[in-house]
Amino acid sequence: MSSPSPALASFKAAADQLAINDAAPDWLNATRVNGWQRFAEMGVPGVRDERWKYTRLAALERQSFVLPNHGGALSKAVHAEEFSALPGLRMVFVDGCLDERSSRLAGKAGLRVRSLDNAIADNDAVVSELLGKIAQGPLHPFAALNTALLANGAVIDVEPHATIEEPVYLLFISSCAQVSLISNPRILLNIGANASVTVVEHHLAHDGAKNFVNVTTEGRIGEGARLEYCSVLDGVALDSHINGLHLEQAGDSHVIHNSVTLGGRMIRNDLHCRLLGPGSHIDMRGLYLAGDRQHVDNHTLVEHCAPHTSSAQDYKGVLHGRGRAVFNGKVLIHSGANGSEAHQSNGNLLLSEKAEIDTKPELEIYNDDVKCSHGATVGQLDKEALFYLRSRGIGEATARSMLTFAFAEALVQRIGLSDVRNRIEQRVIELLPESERIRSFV
Amino acid sequence: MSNKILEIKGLKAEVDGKAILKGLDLAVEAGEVHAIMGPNGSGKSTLTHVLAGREGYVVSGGKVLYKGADLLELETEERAREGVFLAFQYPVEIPGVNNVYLLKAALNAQRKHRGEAELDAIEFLSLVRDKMKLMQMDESFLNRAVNEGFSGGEKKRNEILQMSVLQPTLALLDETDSGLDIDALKIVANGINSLRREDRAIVLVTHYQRLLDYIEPDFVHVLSNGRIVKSGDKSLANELEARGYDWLAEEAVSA
Amino acid sequence: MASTQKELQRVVDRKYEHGFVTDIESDTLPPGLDENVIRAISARKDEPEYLLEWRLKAYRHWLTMTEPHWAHSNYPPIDYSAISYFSAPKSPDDAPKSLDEVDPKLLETYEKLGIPLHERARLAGVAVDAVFDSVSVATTFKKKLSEAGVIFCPFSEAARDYPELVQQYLGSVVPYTDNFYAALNSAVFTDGSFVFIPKGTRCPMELSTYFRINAANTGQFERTLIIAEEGSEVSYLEGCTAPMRDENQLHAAVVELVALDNARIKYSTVQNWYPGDAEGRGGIYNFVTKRGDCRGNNSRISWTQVETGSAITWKYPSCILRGDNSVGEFYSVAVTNNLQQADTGTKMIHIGRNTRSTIVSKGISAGRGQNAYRGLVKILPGAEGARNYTQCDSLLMGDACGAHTFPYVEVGNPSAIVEHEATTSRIGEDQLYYCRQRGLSEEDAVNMIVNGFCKDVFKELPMEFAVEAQNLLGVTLEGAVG
Repeated sequence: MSSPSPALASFKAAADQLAINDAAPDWLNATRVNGWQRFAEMGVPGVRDERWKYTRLAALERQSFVLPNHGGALSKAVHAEEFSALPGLRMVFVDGCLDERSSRLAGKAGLRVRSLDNAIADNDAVVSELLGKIAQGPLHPFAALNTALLANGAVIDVEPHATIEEPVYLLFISSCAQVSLISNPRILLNIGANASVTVVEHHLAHDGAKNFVNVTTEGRIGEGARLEYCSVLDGVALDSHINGLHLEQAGDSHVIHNSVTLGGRMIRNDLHCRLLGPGSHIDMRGLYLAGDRQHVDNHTLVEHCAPHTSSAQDYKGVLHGRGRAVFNGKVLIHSGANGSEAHQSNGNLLLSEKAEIDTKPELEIYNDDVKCSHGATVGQLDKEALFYLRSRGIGEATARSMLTFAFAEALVQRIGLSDVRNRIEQRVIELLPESERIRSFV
Repeated sequence: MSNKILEIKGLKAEVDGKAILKGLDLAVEAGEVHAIMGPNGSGKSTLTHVLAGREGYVVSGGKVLYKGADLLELETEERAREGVFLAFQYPVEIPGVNNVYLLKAALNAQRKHRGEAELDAIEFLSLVRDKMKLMQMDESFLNRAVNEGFSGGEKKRNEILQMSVLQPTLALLDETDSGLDIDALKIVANGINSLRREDRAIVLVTHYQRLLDYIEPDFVHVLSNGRIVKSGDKSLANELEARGYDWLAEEAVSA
Repeated sequence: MASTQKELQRVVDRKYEHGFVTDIESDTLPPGLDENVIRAISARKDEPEYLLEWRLKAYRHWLTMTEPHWAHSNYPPIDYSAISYFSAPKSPDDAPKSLDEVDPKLLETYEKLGIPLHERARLAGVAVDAVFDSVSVATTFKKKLSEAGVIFCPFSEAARDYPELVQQYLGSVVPYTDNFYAALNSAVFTDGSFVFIPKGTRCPMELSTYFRINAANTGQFERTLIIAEEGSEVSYLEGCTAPMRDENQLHAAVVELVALDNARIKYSTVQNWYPGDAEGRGGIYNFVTKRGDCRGNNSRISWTQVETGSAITWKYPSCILRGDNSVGEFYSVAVTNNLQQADTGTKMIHIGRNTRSTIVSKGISAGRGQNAYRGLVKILPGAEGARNYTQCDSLLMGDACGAHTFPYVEVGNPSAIVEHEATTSRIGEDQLYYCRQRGLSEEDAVNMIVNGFCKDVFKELPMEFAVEAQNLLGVTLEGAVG
């Protein structure tokens, strides 16, 4: 056996540090130790692992990381990037540590939003009911690492029948450029029966920040509840980012997941949803952009475990420069899930010679009473549409930009929150090549 | 030998354990056209499916004689080969299977059953082409998959085309007028009228009187809560059109 | 519902029609594999030295490899030392010159299978190279072919008579290092077909081989090599069926196709090996490597397969689209019933400019069958203007079967257009009711719907095969609807 990689050694050191250094309750330390054991068994996945076939972690493994010990200062530059106009409760984390001054945590009827630290200190029932209960199993080594290095995060608890109008906003900022930090935010969502809420998880980075952000989110969606969850990874400046969203849905619950990844050096999004109750539904929409030296990997896994469950996936990617993206969507229909329906579509635009896409839409079906379809396309802009625009006097470059933007916009416009939607539209325009041409049209 | 094609006595049937037909009587003779009307949920479609032998439609009482013999003993396809034809309210789509193929297989199954020689492709096509003209259908239609991507009107015309090819003894038409615009309705009605014959009985199941403006029935029956509650001639349909169904229900209660 | 289930059970329980063992004395090597066995195989076939050397290299490489387990299937471990690697039917003469000289018992076997050799040959104008166990025993129409300059002969004969062709092309598409089973095949292959179509020649008839597996514990390792020179054209048919048997049998064939500039090769397969009984006992393990190399510009290779047999099938007939404007096609129907497992699909590797590929895959799962499509479409950076269209449909019958789709799409060129579509459906009760109301029996209705589902593939088969394929599907699936 060769010696462990620098990254693995540094993770181990961090785990050891937490184990001895913390005034944490025994059960928490035991949870961390257990998390480390599971991670150590699985190790950092290599390209021979089917789920990591197209995403190499070699560069990550060469680095050495330390745990953050206090929050960095919020810079004005980053502040300008946030969804500042969003009303409602918010938590801001800088380099993995809660920035209480920027957060807004006053109570709302039917809604509790608190830091994981506080929830653990209070023996909050949500923690014992959710932590490690949903994000588990051999598919998710980085959820185990998150548990091993568990520090802080957010707990969102919505009472049954509560309708929360204002979104809950979770902002994560990477700022540290001096050393490579690993931060492990843990988000727990407990949505009571027939409750309704919108959550925005937003990741930003300062230029030059070298963080490895390893987020794990666990959500239990109660019967008849509705959740709109927006994950926005905004950042050319994001370095290594692994984001795991793990959901369990009870009967007749309805989840909308908007995943927007606007670049980043090495981004991996995992969405694992289990539809456990009859009539539960998830609607997954993903937009990803990748340009020079950026790698965006989206893996989704939807398990239909109960009758009459349904899922829809619509992922779109725009790749330019030397950008590379991976889409692997898997629908697994278990034998008892009669009358289930699953649709999956993945479209990709390749705008440059050096861009690359690897897509794999999978179906695994153990029931004959289902309706499933999936489709994947890789291509260019519609030539007829281009011609049409040009015949109306629009220059080719502008026409291309318009159509490229329209391709992405088809997903962006379905985001319910206008503040988030507008901000993302602006960012897409900034990030797409030559899209300044169409700024005035949008 | 009586002229009776269909004789239903005290028919009771249930679906998913729920009683739908509750003692239905009906007699249909050769050459007659009967219209069965009734409000939604009265059991009209159930009656047609029981007669056609759909699985899940359980007969719990009464009997059905077809040409003097027990119809209920026969399998679905045996009834079809004996001349029972159901024009479906919602004809199913069968992707990948051509209309022409289904028609030929159906016709030859019937011919074989009767001990007749099967038609070859040329004989069959010339037969079908004639029938298609009647239904004003384009020939390209033959090579399309069964009902796949058809408009509502095309589906219904296709049902009547099949009927004209299969020449049934007893035709059950389930809400054949539903979803048709007036032009399509005329074509379909015209097709049905051309299929009226001395040795054939036709049972029209319909919610509205509209179809009966084009196909004149010899008898009209009102089906309500699983029974025939009133029978009459064409004028009954007009009365129903004018007064609705509620008065019948009241009459039935007070009776 | 109940009567449908019963009907289903009745038909599913129908025994394999082609299950019987022909009583022919076999000349069989004892089980086990080492270099001596390979030397013995080579000696019995009177092979030139170069081929023996190649086999030994393959064997030594095989020893360094491990058995792959990535496919979507389950089976007990295979004991390679318990397999007998050579078996030939005994005949008064080593190579019968005409049908009259063929063992009458063998002809009788083909009769039972519904493949009367002479009749097929006469009716269809097909040259038949029948492989019984591992050695070719009958070759017809040689004269007509040789007049056209076409070489169509058993592989072992080609190794002796056309050593320069064999040396040039053998392993050039599927090297012995390619995978575990290809390496094993390269070491121990016993026979197969060799086809060479010279420049500008259109092969005057369809070429066909019927494979059979017989004799207890005999692994069968065919090796087929087809070379189409510039501007030539050939259609090759392969079909097979196997006797009822208790133990699992390993079959690991290798097929290599080479198409030079403007050449076309069409390779069609109907595979109906013994799938095992209703409990999954017996049945063939079919681990095949089939690959075509569109080496020349404007060349075209088409694979069409109807896979109804075997307990486990792993098979990915592939095309390497090297030449500019070359075309690869894959049309497949795979059926799994009872406990059958199929993991099949294709690889389309686009290297040349303006290369095009089409994939149409129809998977049908019934009983407890598991059916997986696994395919790779890879567009390399240099493959300017490449196009792929993939349609991948599954039909499920019954609630205990599975249908899986694992398409890999890797695109490294922005001018590529790749489309993948997949659907999953079942035969609905309402569809069956509709057909029965029109007078069709349930069996006929199922047949009709399944054949409709597979139509896009069947139309790619040569006529006589299409009919056989439809019948085969009928036998495999009649009534298998839940």
